[in-house]
Amino acid sequence: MSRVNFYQLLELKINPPESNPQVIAAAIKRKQAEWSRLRNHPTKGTLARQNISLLTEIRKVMSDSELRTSEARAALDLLKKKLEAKFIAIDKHIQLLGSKGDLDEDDIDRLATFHKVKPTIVQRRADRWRKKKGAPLAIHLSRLLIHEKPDEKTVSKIAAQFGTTSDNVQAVLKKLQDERSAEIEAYINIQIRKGFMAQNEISNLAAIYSIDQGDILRRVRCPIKKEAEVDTETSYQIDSTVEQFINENLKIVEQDSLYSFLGLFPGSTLEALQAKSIEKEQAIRKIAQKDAVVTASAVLAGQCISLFKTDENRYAYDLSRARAMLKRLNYEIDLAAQQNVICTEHYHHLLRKAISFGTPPDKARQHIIDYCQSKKWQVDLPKKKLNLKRYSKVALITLSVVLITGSIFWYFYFSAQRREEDYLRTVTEAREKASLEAQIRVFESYMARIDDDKMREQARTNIDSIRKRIVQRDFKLVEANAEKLHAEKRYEEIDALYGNFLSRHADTAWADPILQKRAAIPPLIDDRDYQNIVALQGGEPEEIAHAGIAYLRNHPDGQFVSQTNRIIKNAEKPYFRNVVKALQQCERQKDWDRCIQLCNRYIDVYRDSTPALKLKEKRDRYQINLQNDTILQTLIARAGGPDAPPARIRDTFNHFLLESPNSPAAQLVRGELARINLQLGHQAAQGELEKLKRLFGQKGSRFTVHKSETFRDSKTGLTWALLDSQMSTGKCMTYNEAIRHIKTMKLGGYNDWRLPTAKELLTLFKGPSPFPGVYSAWYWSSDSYKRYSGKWIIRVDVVKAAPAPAKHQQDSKECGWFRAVRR
Amino acid sequence: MSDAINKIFGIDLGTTYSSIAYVDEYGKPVIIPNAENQRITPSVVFFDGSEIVVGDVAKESAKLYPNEVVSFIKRSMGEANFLYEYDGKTYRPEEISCYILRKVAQDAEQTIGEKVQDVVITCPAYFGINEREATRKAGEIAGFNVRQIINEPTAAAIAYGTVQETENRVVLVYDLGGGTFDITMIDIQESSIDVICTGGDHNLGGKDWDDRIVAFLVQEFQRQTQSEEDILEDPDTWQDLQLSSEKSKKILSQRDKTPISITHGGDRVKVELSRDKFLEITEDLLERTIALTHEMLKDAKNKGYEHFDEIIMVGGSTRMPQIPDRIRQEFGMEPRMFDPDEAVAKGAAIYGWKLSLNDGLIKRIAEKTNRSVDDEEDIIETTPKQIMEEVAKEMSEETGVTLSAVKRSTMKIRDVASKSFGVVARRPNNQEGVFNLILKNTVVPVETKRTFYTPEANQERVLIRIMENETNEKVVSVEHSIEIGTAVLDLPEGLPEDSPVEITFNLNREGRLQITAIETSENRQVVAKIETSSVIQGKELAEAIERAQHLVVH
Repeated sequence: MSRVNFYQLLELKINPPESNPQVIAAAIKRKQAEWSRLRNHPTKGTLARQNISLLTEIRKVMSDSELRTSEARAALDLLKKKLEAKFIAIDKHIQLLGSKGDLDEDDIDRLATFHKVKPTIVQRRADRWRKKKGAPLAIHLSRLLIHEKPDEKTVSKIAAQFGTTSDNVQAVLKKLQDERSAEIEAYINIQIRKGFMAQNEISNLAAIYSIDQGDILRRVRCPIKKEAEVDTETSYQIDSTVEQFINENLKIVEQDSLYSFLGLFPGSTLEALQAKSIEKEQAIRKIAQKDAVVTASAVLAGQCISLFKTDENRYAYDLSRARAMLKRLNYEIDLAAQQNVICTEHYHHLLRKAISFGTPPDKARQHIIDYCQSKKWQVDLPKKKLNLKRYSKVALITLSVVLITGSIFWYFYFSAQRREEDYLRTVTEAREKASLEAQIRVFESYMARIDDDKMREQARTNIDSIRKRIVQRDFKLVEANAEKLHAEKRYEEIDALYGNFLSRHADTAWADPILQKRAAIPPLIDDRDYQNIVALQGGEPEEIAHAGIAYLRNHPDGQFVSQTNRIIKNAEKPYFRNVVKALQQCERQKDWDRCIQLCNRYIDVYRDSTPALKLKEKRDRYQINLQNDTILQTLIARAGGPDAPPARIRDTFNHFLLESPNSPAAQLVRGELARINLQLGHQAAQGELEKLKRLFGQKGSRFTVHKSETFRDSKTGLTWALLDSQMSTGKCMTYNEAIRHIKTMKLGGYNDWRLPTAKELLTLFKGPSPFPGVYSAWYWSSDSYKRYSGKWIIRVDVVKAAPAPAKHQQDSKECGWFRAVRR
Repeated sequence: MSDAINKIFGIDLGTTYSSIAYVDEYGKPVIIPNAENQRITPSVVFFDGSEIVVGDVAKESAKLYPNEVVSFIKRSMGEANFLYEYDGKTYRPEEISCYILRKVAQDAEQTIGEKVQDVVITCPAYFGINEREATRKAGEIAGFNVRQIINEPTAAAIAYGTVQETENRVVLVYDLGGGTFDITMIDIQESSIDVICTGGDHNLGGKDWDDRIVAFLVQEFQRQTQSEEDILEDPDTWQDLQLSSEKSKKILSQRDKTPISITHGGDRVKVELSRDKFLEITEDLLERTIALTHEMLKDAKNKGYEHFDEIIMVGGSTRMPQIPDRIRQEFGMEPRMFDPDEAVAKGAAIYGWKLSLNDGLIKRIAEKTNRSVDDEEDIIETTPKQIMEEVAKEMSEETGVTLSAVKRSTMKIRDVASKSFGVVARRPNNQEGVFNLILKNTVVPVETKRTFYTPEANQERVLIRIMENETNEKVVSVEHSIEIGTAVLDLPEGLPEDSPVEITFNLNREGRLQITAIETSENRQVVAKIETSSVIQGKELAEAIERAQHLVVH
């Protein structure tokens, strides 16, 4: 594809060409900024992108004097070509204005003004036209053809008038008629895409082109409706936004239609258009350089695929093209109007042009008349030539009768023949289909498109006969399948097969035998299911019980209900024993879900039996456990999952207990909390041990560490446990608990540990001591006192380390910490 | 989380909206709202005198100062000739993108009180070499340490894979953003995320749907006022319609119709746009996404992937109801909408977080095993399981990050090349053609060598034209490729005809290409730095960095 000329694109002077580098550079920069700004413009963006992508080449060409000169030359050539294009347009308009016979001076002046050229140029082109196509004979014949085809007598008259032979006149006439036939053919090719043509459309064409309707009908290969039952303007329409979008992109790729974009003629078959659209789309996708032309092409290829999907879509596109071209026709109407009148020849020329775009004749006529009315111009419409009134009434009636009879005969003869052919085509098409259903579809679609009762009846008979064959085929199929399934005792599937058959063919003669066969199925299923239970005897009681209960549910009125009940009863005890065993195991694993499941299964069979009631109680407990477990897991997840730092989990637990101290899960959470505290205690204890060891290791310390477990105070000679109870157990203890715990202690190889006296404890904290005031609130001592105050209570001396070592008393039931000692 | 982990932020630099995310102390990706408390920031830049304004204010200013506002700059990334001119200065797309990055980062810094230094930035999978490089440069101009450029669908899949801890599955990521469309097939497994195939169009996105509405409004205006004036010639009207079109599109995702008013040159026209009309005028755009999807599926089939388990939709434009409807109709499967506005930024943040954890792991392994930290992948793959466990545990204890998260950070993420790359050489028929060394959808990193021969005796140098294209064929025509750069190899004197020159293409994990050419007779080698004008560099780059250092974005 040729690229745009850079002189034109940069809007630089062409004649003489601009060569000042600074002016050129400034123009490039100005355009670069302009295109960059328009890069994302909704309608101009694509072109701006295209131009931006050209900048590298623009710079290269415009900075090289040789390349620039040739670019300037090309710009001049383009100007020339533009002028040539103008000549073509002028020629077309000369043809339009000359259709009334010849061009006068006024015509020449108007064309010169319209095309912004000197009148002498138009005059020269008009002379050429007169020599070539505009021969007076052809024009004369064309004017005659507006009204009717000249008969032989008229032809010889014309031959004499123009001083030529009749054969020559006939030859010119044939040429003109062929031109018109081609136009009609093209129009029909567009119209049949909508699936039908209207009778009035055909008669209008015949009138405009002075041609027999029969001639037109022979070319029509689609149904003909008496009147256009569908308003083509509204039924076949592509949106104007899409239309405009297509046109804008076509401009970028320098094409005038999707057909030329695909490189095909507008008359190409739908299949060819579809194949080419896909081919084009695939080819474009491969192009890496996504410049504007490629982007526009991609959009157009997409539109081709969508618009050439069906004949209807394509027709809508054709109509939209016709509409757009009709708009352009307005310029020519303007040109054709002379002294506010459009003469018959001009009108006819414009009308044919509009039809050649694919505009239906009535729409084309309406458009021209409406446009002229809006301009207050008069249109000289062609006069009807049926001036029979001038002749005798009898002749008129006779002629009318002949015509009507002829038409009726023609109508019946041709349409009957066409219908017969259409029907035979349908039958052939149906026979070619592999499936009977597809054959029916062919006939149904045939019935939908024809309105002849007789033909419809024939099609209906065919459909009925095929339907019978379908039922017969289905019956045989069902029978064959049922037999196979019967051998495997798959009775439910047989029932479904029968059901399916009946739902499709309920009203046929074949329904009865199927109904009878279907009725025989339930007893067979009953027997099979009971035999299955019997076969299980001696196996797992659970399995037997569940098979039994399933039988009872499926066959509440079955033949073997009492036998089955007996079998279920026999399984009750062994089943219960198995359940209890399994429950022990799942309890150990804390798999509450499984426990609940086991209970539920048993309860499902033996609803209100004593063992079932027992299991119901158990199940309730399991459910609570499960619920508590869920709460616990939720809390852990909230803290960040089981891998989260224990301190974060502890905080989450504490928060929960603070907010919901009475939650059923509180106990479980507390247990977990204790475990975490212990874990954290161990971690802290390790830290504490290290710290104490370090402190005791300092010079001048009165404490000496032994075996990382105990230390000796050289001042008192006492040996103490290195860790207090908070660090070592994490558990706060009452006085008695503390004494009991201390008796079991084995530490540093000793087992004679005891609680210290208050005095001994105080010595530990007094003086320069490594135990600063951050330790537990207070420690139990061995000094206790019994006192009676309504009941016997025990008070114990306890020692506080912080803020200053001191002694006071606590009730022995309180919980506290201790540090073991021995001498 | 401990300071031992260096925070790496994920930035989704979108065509219409951008956002930033990081992974919080609980290992969860979090979007950081901007100063206006919005989770996404319009990618719109307003040159307001000496100030740069980014975001909602800039977007709204477009109506009043259309020529001072730049939108959709992402679409121009890697375009050599895009130039925005303001106040006598010119700006490249990288610099304008840098303002957007600065805005989201600056607001994030204020919100979380930490400096944004290390970042992972996302780009469409379908971005070529130059677009990727431009994105990286934008980050560098903004002053960031750009740890990696990752693909948007991959980021979305990472976010998805982290949330959906289900069994292995093959997922189709349909990513329709504001300006780009990516379709990617990804195999998500417990220990890896593998991109199988990718396709798309980086000039197809929500904006195109907006543009169709704009065109419709113009037509309606012309129809109702009986004029043929192109009202888009007026920049104010253009921007006004662009904004109302975006709004209408969003309304039509919820309702059947929307009223729109057009004001231009004293005329005021009311238009009603129905959803049906909207669908009609945009049908071909939707169909293009479907065609691109099928094309990608065809490539995937050739790689042995015939089925997929799920379609997830990301990108704000997938909110248009016709998109899921069409996908459902085409593939008979319910697509899942997955966090359409935020998945990409979050995925990038998770990726950054993994990078950071991975850095720590590798450093520790290297210390423990006395190895160098050069080959990251290799270290992780070859370290005995026991040592890996130990190191992961240590790392978890030290940083407070859960052990499972540390282990997950070793998850492998494998991407593919979104384009084919080759060099221009002569075919046997003496015609020039592009010989692809790396084919589209090859797993990256990848290294390919191929030997070419000098056509003439005593040749002085070889010009290597490095080309990018979208076909999967080994040899394609030059017209179907774009030149992304050139490199020159000087040859020793007196070489005979047909002397071999070995060219090596190395495409790394983030889609950066390195080229080495060796003249084998004297073993003369060039590591070709790709010379391209499509990406800001040299003096221009230095100036942009200098300007950005003193810049405050509002």
